[in-house]
Amino acid sequence: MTAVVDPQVAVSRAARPAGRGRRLGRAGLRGVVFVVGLVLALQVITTVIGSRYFPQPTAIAAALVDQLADGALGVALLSTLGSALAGLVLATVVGVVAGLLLGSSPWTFAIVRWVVEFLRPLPSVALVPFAILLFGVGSTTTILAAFYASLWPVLFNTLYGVRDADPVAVDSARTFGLSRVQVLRRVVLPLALPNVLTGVRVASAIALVLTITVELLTAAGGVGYFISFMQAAIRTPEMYAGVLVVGVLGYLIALGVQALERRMLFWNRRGDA
Amino acid sequence: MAVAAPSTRRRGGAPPKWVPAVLPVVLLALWEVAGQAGGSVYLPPLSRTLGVFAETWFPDVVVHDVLPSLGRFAAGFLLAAVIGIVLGLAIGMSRTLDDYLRPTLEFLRALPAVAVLPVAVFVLGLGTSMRISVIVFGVVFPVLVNAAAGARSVRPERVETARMFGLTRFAIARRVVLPSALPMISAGLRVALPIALIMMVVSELVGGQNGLGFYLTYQQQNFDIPAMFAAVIVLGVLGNLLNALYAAVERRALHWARHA
Repeated sequence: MTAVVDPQVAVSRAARPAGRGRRLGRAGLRGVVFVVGLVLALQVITTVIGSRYFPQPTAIAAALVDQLADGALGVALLSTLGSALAGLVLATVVGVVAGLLLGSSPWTFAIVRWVVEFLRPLPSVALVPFAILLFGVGSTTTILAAFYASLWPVLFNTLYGVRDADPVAVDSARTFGLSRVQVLRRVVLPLALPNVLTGVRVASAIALVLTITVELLTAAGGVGYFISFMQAAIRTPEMYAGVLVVGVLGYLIALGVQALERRMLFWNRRGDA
Repeated sequence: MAVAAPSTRRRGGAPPKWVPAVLPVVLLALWEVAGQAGGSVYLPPLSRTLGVFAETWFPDVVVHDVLPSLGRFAAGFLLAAVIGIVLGLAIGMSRTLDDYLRPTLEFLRALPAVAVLPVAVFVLGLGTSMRISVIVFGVVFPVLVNAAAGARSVRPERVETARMFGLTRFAIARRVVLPSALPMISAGLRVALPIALIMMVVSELVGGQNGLGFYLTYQQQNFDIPAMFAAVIVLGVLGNLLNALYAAVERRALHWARHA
C-alpha cells in the first residue's frame, strides 16, 4: 500500500518547505481555537444550566492545581509513570531478544509458535485477577501486567523486522567472517530497528493501559486509583482532573517515543513520515 | 529478485509441520502432572479446570455471562466502527475540519481508554450503556485515525473526476473516498479488535452483574481457581477466534485490494 502512495508523498515533500511553516502555524492556531472554544462553551453551559455530571472547567482547573500543589496527584503520577516505564523497558529488552531469536531461527519459531500465537490475542487483562492472587497488591503486579501486555507488540514487530532483513546484507556479513551473534547485533538488529521501534510505540500505549487498569482494580496507588477514589468520593472536579492528567501523560509518552524514533531512525526515510 | 534465500533458512531445512504441536502438548501435560502432584492452590490440574466447563458452563455460564459479553462487544465494536469511519472520512476530506479537531483528537487518542471507566460509571451508572460506551471509546480512535489517513491518501484525480461528473460531496465520500480508504480502515479495525476485547473485560470487572469479566473477578474473589482459569482459557480462545474471523472477512471483502 505504501508503494502506491509513495510517489505522491515524495512530490508533496519536495514541494513543502516553503509553505510548511505557515500551514503548520495556521493549523496549530485553528486547533488551539477549537480547544479554547470548547472549554469556553463548557464553562458557559455548566454555569448557566449546570450539570450533575460535568463540573465547570474552572472547578476542574482549580482541583488540578490544588491536587498538584498538595502533592497527591504528583505522587500518583510518578507511581503510574514508573510502573508503565518499568514494564515497557522490561518488555522491550525481552521482546527484542526473543524476537531476534525467533526471527532468525525457524526451528525455535516452529517450536513455540502455537503457544505464542495463542497467548498474543488473549486479552491481557484476563490475567490480572490471577496476577493479583499470585503477587498480591503492589507494584510487582502492576509492572508485570504492563510487561506481559506490552511484550507482544515488541516481540512480533522485531520478529517481522528480522525476517524482512535483506538476505544479501546478512550473507555478506557472514562472508566477511562475522559470527551469528555478531550478524544479529551488527546487521539484523539495525535493519529491524524501524520495526522494533514501531513495536515499542504500540507497546508504550498498552503499558499505560494495563498500569491504569491494575491501579483501578487493586487500589494500589497511581493515577488510576486516584481517579476511581475521587469517583467513589463523588469529588467530580478531582476525578476529571485525574483523567486530564492521564491524557497528558499518554500524550507525553507518545511524543517521547516518537522523538526516540526520529533520533534513532534519522537515516531511515520511513522514520520521519 | 529472490536470488538468495536467507542463509538461516537453508541450513537444516524447514521444520516439519508437526513441530508446533509439541510444546502445547508438553505444557498441557506438565500442567496436569504438576497440578496432580499438588502443593499449590494456584495450580489446579488441567482436568479440573476443564471439568468446570462440563459442570457449570452449559448452559448456565454461557447464557448468563458469555452471550451478554459478546453482545456488548459486538454492539460497541460496530457502533464505534460506524462513528469512527464517518468522522474519519469527514476529517480526511476536509483540511479545515482536520485543522480544528486535530489537537483535541490527538489528546483523546492518547488518553488510555480505561481511565474513562470511572467517569463512565459516574455518568452512566453500572448498566449496559456504560459498558458499551467504554468499548466505543476504546475502539473509535484507532478507526477514526486510520479512516482519516485513508481519506487523505485518495488520489486527487479520482475526487476531481467525480466532482466533474457532478457528484455531491456526500456521493463522493460514499462512492469514491470510502472504497479507496477501505484497506486503511480495515487495518484500523484490526488494531481495534483486541482493544475492544480488553475494554469488554475491563468494563465488566467493576460493579458487574454478568459477563466474562464479571465471572473472572467473581471466581477470583471466591478463590475458585479452576473456574478462573476456565474463563482465561475462554477469553484466549475468543481472542483467537475473533482474529481468525476478522482475517477471513477481510480476505473476502478486500480481495480486490490485495495487489498492494
